[in-house]
Amino acid sequence: MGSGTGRSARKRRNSGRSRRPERKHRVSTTKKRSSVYRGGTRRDPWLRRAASAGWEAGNAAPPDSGASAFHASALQQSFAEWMNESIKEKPGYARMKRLSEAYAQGYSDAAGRKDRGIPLPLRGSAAAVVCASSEEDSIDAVLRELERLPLRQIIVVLNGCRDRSYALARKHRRVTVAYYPDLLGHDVGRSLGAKLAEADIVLFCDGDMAIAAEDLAPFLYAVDAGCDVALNDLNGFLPLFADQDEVTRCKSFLNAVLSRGDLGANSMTAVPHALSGRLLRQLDLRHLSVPPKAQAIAVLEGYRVEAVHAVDVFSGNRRRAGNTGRGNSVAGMIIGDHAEALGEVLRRRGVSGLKPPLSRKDVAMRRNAM
Amino acid sequence: MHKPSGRIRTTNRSRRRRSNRTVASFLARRTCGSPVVSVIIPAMNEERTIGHVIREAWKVHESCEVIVVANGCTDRTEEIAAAMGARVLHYDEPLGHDAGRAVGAAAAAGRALLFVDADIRIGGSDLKPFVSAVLNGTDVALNRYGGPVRLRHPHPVVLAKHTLNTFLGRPDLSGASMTTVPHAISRKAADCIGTSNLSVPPLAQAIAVRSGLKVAAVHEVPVGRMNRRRGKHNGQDLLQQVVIDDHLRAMEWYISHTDSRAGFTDLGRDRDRVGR
Repeated sequence: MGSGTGRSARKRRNSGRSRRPERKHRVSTTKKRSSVYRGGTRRDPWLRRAASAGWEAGNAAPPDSGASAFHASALQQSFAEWMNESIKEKPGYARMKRLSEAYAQGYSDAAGRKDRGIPLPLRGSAAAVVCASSEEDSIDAVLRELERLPLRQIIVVLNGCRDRSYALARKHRRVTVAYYPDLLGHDVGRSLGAKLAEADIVLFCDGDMAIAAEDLAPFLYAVDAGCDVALNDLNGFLPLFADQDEVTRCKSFLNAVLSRGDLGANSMTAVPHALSGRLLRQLDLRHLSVPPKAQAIAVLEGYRVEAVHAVDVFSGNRRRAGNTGRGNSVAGMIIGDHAEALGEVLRRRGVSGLKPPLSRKDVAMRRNAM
Repeated sequence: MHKPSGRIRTTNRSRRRRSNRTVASFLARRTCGSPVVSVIIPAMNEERTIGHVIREAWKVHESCEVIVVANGCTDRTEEIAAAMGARVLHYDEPLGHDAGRAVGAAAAAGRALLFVDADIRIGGSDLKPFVSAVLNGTDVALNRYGGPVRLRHPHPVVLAKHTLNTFLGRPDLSGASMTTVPHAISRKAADCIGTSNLSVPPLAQAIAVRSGLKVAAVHEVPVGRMNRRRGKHNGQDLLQQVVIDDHLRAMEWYISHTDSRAGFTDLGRDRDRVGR
């Protein structure tokens, strides 16, 4: 096994060196062996077509000036164009991702440079809002991942910063930094960022943890496909109810009250999530500072709220005084947020005069009358 | 339904013999003049279980009254209750779920009020801890049983009970709830909560906690397993909607008596910074 791997590795190295000049003619065989196309080609002929389309686009690509943002890059533009032209029905995320990978692979093979960006066929424009305070350890990585996505705007709402985060964020030339010298409080940055964002899709992230662009793309794609609130699907990471914390239970309860028990404990409190421009234009953006309240309003007003992709934000989350352990102050704040959200639900229910389908008496009758 | 085996007939006969004996022995101890404990049993067509429930109820204290709130009964429930020495409050119409508790509590004279259901057989030894907790200074003595929690997604009612306690700032109560029987309250709690509010048990619980009454989960009786299977409506227990709604009413009351965040911190959010 060990020697076999060694041999094939050597072979690959050698072949790479000797074949490079004549790659144009060899490209189809190379493609088959490349990891991106393995297995997929037989099932989906479009993967091959995507790769050759990418190859063609890569050949025609202008030399990389390094100045343009990824959303305006030839890779992103040509892929979106190709998808629009050749695939009538928008594929699901998993298939689109395979096509995107194949296309990008073909493109970089031909252009001779590796573009780390993930081309996405989005109809609308996209932006990202990053809330950060003192995150010098992670802010750079967060922004580098976001720059791999076709985003028109990347807005960092930096508040109460006490370290080098500002300088680090400013190094990213296409990033807009909204600087507030004082701490704004939890999630207030989301409201402020959303006000600055002008896009059909707005992705919300935190500056304290870098999430791979591959794990952010599904949220953009879901909103582009018609979802209004694309949530991180954390249900798979939950322990048994007996071991769940109070915050998780509050999230589940709010969803249950909204008749959205299918959402489990998924919540706008968690990042990443993406919102549609349609929702953001209608919503009082102040509500985004109290995420469960915004979620309740979105559900009550009939917007499409869905859990679209699972990103593990538990293991990577920075632990600090105040957000660990039972009954920590952040937990108390989130519980308060849910109280506010329930208050909103009750107020609206009272206004619309909704009543439970059966009174206590009717229920007793149906259950116990013989 | 035809029951074919002779075995069942024998069981019936022996049960009848036993219950005759108990009725005879309990007839001697009618409800006493100034009871220490009032046991309140709302009942609607529970002839199958009411006898057992009353028999166990008599065991909780030597000075005790048993109040059966018979509402909308079309079977022998009242007859059995009266024969077993209980005080029967008769209502032709069904009062509604848990509404019997309010009526029973209003009529109760004891220092401790114990609430049980007519359809769940619970032994006297599992009822006594609630009564003794109240007689020893607890105002609301709850059943610690919080429903099945070894699941990833619990029943909505279980979820509601746990969440209400969180909002009330009493996560230590876990899923303990006045919705669940058995539980006992003191005379002081009954006055403070107001007996009419007892028909919405989560609301009663919110009032109790907010009023600073001593609320504690004192003993665990796993009533979930004893519960009778009921008719479902569109695959959902009819009661679920009522219980969830009760919890929302409790939340509404609590929010209106604290603040919009139920007294929880905002961690200094600068909300004014965001204009419309």
